[in-house]
Amino acid sequence: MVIEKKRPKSGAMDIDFNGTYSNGGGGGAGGHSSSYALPVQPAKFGLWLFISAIIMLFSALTSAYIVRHSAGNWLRFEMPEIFWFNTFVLLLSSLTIQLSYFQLRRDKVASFKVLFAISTFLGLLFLAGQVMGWNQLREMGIYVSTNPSSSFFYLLTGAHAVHLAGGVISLIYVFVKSLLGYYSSRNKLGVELCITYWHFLDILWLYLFVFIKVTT
Amino acid sequence: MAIHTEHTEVAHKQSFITKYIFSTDHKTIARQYLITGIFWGVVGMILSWLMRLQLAYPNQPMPILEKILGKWAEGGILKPEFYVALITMHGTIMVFFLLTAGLSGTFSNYLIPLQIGARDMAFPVLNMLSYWVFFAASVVMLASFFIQTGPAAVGWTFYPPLSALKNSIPGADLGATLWLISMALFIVSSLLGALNYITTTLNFRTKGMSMGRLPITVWGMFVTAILGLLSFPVLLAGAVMLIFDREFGTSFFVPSGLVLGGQPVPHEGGNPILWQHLFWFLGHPEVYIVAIPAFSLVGEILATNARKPLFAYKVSVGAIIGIGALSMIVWGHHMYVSGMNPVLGEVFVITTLAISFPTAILVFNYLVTIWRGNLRFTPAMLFALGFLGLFIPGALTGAFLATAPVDIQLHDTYFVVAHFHFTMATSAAFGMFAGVYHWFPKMFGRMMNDKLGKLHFWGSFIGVYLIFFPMFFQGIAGVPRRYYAFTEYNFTSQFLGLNKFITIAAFVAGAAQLLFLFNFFWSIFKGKKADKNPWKATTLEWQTDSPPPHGNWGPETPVVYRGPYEYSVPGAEEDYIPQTVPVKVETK
Repeated sequence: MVIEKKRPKSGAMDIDFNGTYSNGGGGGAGGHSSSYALPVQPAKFGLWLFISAIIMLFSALTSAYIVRHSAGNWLRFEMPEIFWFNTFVLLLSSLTIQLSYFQLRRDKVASFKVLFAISTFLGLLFLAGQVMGWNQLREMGIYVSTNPSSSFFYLLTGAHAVHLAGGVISLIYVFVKSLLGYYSSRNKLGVELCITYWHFLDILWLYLFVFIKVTT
Repeated sequence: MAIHTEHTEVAHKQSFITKYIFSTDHKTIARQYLITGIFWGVVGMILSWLMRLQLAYPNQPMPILEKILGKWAEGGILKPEFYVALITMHGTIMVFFLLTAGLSGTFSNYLIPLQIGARDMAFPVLNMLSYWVFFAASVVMLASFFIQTGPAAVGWTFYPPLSALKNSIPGADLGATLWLISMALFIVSSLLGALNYITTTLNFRTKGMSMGRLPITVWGMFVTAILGLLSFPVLLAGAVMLIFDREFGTSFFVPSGLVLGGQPVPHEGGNPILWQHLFWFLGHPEVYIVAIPAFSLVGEILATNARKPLFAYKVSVGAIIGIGALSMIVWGHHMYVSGMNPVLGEVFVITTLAISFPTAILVFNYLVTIWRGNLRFTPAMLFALGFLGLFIPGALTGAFLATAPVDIQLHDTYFVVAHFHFTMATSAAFGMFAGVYHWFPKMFGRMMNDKLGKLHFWGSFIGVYLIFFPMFFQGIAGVPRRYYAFTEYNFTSQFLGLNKFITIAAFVAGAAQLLFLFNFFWSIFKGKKADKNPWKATTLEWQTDSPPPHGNWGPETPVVYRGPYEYSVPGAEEDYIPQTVPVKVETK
C-alpha cells in the first residue's frame, strides 16, 4: 500500500490495475521493461510537449509584436522599476527551487520543504509585484488600449502571469503533498515536474523582459 | 490463469457513471467523441441544407422555414444575416467539431492504444478531461444558436475588422464572443488530446512494437497530434488578441480610419492581415490535421481489404511526415490577394507545390497497394476507395489554386468551395465513414448492416460528385462564394438551374446519411455479433475480444514479432499473419 501511494499519478495504469498487470509499454512508474519506449518518464515527456505548445503560443505573440512594432506609431514608455525587482524575485525563486531539489535528492526533507515553501512564496510575490507594476503603469496613464505597445505589454506580461499562476498552484499542490510526507529522494517526480515548469517560466520571463525592454 | 482474470474483473467493476460518462477508458472516450462528432455532423448537414435551399430558391417564401427558424426566416425567406451565420457555423462545425474532434478524437483514442498494445493512454485522466472540455466547447457553440443576436456570422475564418468590432453586424456580437470562448476551450481539449497521443505512441508500445512496425494509422495519428500541438497555440494567441480587441479596446487587428455607421471607430493602427497570418498558421496545418487521419485510416483499410501489404510502407510513413512538416510553411497561399508582399507569395507558391510531392507519393502508394489485389468490397473498402476518388480531383485542382496568378482569378469563388470540399471535407468524411464501418465491430462488438452500408456509400459518392463538381464550373465563371443570392448579375444568375440541381443532389446525399444514422444506432443494439477478427486483419486490435475488455488485453500484453501488413505471404497457411505470431526460425 505504501508503495502504491508513492507511485506518481501519471503512471495511471499501475493504479488502475493495482499492479496486477505489467504495463507492456514500460511506462508507468518510470520502469522501462522494454527497449521500445523512450528513455524518459512519460509525465516528464508530456510536460515537455506542453512546454513546446506554450513556446508556440509565445512565439506567435512575439512575432505579432515584431510585425506590429515595425509598422510604426509605437509609443515608447519606461517600464516601472518594480519589474526589475520582480525579475530578481523570479530568478531567486528559480535558484531556491533548484536548491530545494538538491536537498530532496539527499533526503534532507525538512530543508527541502523550507526552500520549496520559500520558492512558492517568491512566486506569489512575483505575481503581486506584476499587479503592482500594472497599477503603476495605469497611474502613468498607460492603459491596455492606449497604444499597440501598451496593448502588447499587458498581453505578454498577462499571458505569462496566467501561466505562472498555474505554476504557483502546482507548487502549492506539491508543497501540501510534501507536508503529508509524499516525497523523498526515491519518489520525487511531482517535484521534478514542478521545477522543470518553473525554470521554463523563469526563462520565458527573461525572454519577454529583454524583448520588451529593447522595444519600449 | 482463469482465476487470475476473474479476480481482476471483479476488482475493476465500474459503475454506470465511471463506465459510460466520466470514463478514463480510451475506448469509451473514443465512442463519446464519435457520437458527439456524429451529432455535429448532423447539425452541420442541416445547416448546409438551409444554405442550399436559399441558393436554389432565392426570395421564394417557404412557410416551413418560418415555423422552424422563427425570426430568422420571417415570411419563410431566410434573412441575409442568418445566411452568413449558416456559412460560419457550417464551416466551424464541420472543420473543427466533426473532422478534427470527431475524426482524430475517435480514432486516435481508439486505435493508438489498441494498435500499439497498450492498456490505455499515457494520461487517462487528461484524456477524459480532453473529451469533457470538448463537450463544454460544444455546449457553448450550440448555445450561440439560441441567443437574440444569433450565432457568429463573420465567416469561419473570423477575419477582422468585421469580427473585431462587436457592433459591426449583429452576428459579430455575443455570438462571436461565444464562438471565441468555444474555440479557446476546443484548443485546450485538442492540446490535452495531442499530449496523450504523442506520449502514448512513443512511450507505451508493447514489446516488439518498434516504430517501424507501427500500423500506418498510428503514424498518421501521431503526426496529426504533433501538428495540432504546434499549430493550435498560434490560433489561441490570435484568439486572445481578438478578444482583447473586442473587449478591452485594443487595436491589434483594427486599422486606423475605420468608419462604422457614420461614426469613426476609436481603434487605430491595427493590422488585419496579422490575423490572417495567425489564423492560417493554424488554418493550413488544420487541413492536414483533418486529412492525415483520414489518409492513414484509408491506408489500413485498403491493405486489409486488398489482402496485400501496404505498398512501400516506409516511403508512405516518410510521405506522411513530409506532409506534416511542409504543412507548417504553406499558410500564405490563402493570402495571395490580401495585399501581402508578392515575393512572399512566390515563396508560398513553391512550398505549396512542394507539398504535392509527398501527397502524390502517398496516393500512388495506395493505388499500387490495391493494384492486382484480391479486393473485398466491404462498405469500409468502398468508402476508402471513394476517399481516393474524391481526394484526387481535389488535390489536382489544388495545384491551380496554389499558383498565385491563377488564384487571383479563382480566389473566393465557388472553385475554392469545390476544391476544399473534395480535398478535405468530403474525402475526410469518407475516411471517417470508412473507419467507422471498419472498426465498428471492434468498438461495439456487433456488425453493421452490409447492404445499407453499400447503399449509403453509393448515395454519398454520387451525391457528393453531383453537388461539388458543378461548382468548379461556377467558380471558373467567377461566381463568388458566401453570397446570399445570385439574382443580380447575369454571370451568376445563369447558374440558377444548376443551383437547383445541386440542392436536389444535396438532399439526396443527405438522405443517404440517414441510412448511415439508422444503420449505426440500430447495429449498436441489434447488429449481428462480431467475432474477434471479422476482416481477418493482422494488427493487434483484432487479436483481442470485440469489444476489448477494460484494459484491452488479458493478463499479458501482446508481444509483436512482425510488421503490420503481412497479407498473402507466400507459403503461409492463411492469407494473413497477425503481428503476434512468432517468426519460425528454420533449423537445418
